[in-house]
Amino acid sequence: MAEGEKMRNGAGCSDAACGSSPESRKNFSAKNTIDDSVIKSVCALAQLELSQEECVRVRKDLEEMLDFTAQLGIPDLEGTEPLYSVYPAENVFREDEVTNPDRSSEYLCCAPSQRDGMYRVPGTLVQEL
Amino acid sequence: MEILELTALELGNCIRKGEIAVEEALDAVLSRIADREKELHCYITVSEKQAKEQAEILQRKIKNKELTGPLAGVPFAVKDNICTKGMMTTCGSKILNGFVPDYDAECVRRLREAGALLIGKTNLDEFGMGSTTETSYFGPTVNPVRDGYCAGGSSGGSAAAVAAGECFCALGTDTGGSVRLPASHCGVVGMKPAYGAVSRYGIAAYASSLEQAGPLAKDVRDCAAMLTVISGKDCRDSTSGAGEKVDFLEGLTGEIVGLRIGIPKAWFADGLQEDVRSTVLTAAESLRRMGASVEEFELKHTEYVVPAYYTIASAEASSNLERYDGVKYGFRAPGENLNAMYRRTRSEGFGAEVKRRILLGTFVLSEGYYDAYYLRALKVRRLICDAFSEAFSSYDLILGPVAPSPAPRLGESLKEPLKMYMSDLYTVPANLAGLPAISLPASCSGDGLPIGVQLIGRLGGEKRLLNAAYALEQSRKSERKSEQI
Repeated sequence: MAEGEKMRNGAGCSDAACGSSPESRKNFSAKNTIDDSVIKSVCALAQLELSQEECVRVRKDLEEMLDFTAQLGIPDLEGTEPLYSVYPAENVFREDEVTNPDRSSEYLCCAPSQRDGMYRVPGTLVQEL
Repeated sequence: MEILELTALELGNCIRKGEIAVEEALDAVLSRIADREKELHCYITVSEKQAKEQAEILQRKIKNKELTGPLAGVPFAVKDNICTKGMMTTCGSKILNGFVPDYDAECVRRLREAGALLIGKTNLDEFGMGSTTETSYFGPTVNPVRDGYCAGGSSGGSAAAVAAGECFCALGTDTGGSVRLPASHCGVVGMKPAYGAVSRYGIAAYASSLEQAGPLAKDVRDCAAMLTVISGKDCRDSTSGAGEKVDFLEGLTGEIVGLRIGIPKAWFADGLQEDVRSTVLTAAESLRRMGASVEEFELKHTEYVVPAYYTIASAEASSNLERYDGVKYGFRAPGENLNAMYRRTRSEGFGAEVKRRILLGTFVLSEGYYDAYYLRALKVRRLICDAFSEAFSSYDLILGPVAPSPAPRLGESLKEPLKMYMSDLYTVPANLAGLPAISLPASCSGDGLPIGVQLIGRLGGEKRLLNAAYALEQSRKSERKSEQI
């Protein structure tokens, strides 16, 4: 399967599939990756809904940004470990003791809707109109 | 001397000596706000009543010697993505309009404990995403130096408030240059401490591995004084550094003989405006005259910093901003069911730039694309950090521009987001590598717009960084005095 086809099929883009040579990675175009189904899928993950006009604009923006970030495909990263944080991240532990007062009623004051000491939200299984 | 012409430390000194009352300083600031705020829009919230009540309390405590620190009684402002107890905190967004935290962020708590007087919350690009303070739900901030121009961003409100005399100093946050860039555009000093130097507890997260709260002030000494107060370990932020409290005012001598300073050649490529280039080269000459050695060098991987930054920052943003769903606080849109409520709340509550970055971040983290984009960006981040480690084996500090050009006109940058992103070229490396960096005013463009220069230090090198910035600042002051004579 050609690399462009892999992307159009939403089969993702592994590091290898984006091009095995710096040259092919340099020529990578996001126009092969971002189609309506990708936008729909990303919006669903992000819990966002876009108007038709926004979809067109977002698609163009994402294509431009991904073409721009495709430069990251150029350097040889064999043997390089990812750097998640410059600060050495270690889990912080403490004794399992309650050390803070119960302020739940104060926190509930910020809520758009509450009842009986709980956050009140629409039902999960109600059909959309 | 006019009260508003004083620096924060000068004011603090006058207040301690009884020469100026806290209420006087507050009145001067409120009067300036009344004069200029309508035109500049530095603030989202000004808490005049709270500030007046607090001023009385602080005056009494200072008189009784209960508060003796250098910033006691000094009016300051806080960027509106930093939580302040009892004061609205919106992050410049509709989705948090009306949200009032019931706690102070740690950096705010420390400043209040030191006796500084909080007067209000400053405008910002929504959730810190932007370089011009134009994406705020509440409207843009205007550059106080020249009408019609941006204040820079995302801490544009804080920078403009300091520049306009609407506060004596302010807090901002810097994820990719958001303290340094507006400082440069508004002609004030702005510092991003090293990652971990200041607790992020109570700061609305945008990109957790990149951001730091930092001071904006009229001069380097004021920045050092603020950093002294806000820095240090906080058990509620596991990324805040261990180690003893440091007094950053100590050691500000201006002595820089023997300091080795490098200027990355790659930062002087096409795209850098001529007056910015000459400003940096003039600063280099001043540093040389004071005994530092300054030379150009090859800094590797500069072409990857902006794409790496925006990939990582967007990915982290997409995760951090998941919490804004209309359930526990902030804006809620109606929905027939829970998912509809989530989608409509977020779609109506976030602005275009925030949505753009969330979508990019979601994409690069999604199955099938994670390795090619996000993981690669993290590996490139390591290359960039290694490049800086290599640079700091030969140099003590790095000198460079803050931005390719002075402040743009209002409305210009939003038309071309990618071009706006590229303007972060000189600032994002310090965030990727977790390094301390400072921007200080160095000259003005032909149009009268401020131009800053940037110094970057190695990890743990804030004192040396501040001292070099102080030396450069003092040198510029002497040169300007000589010109006037």
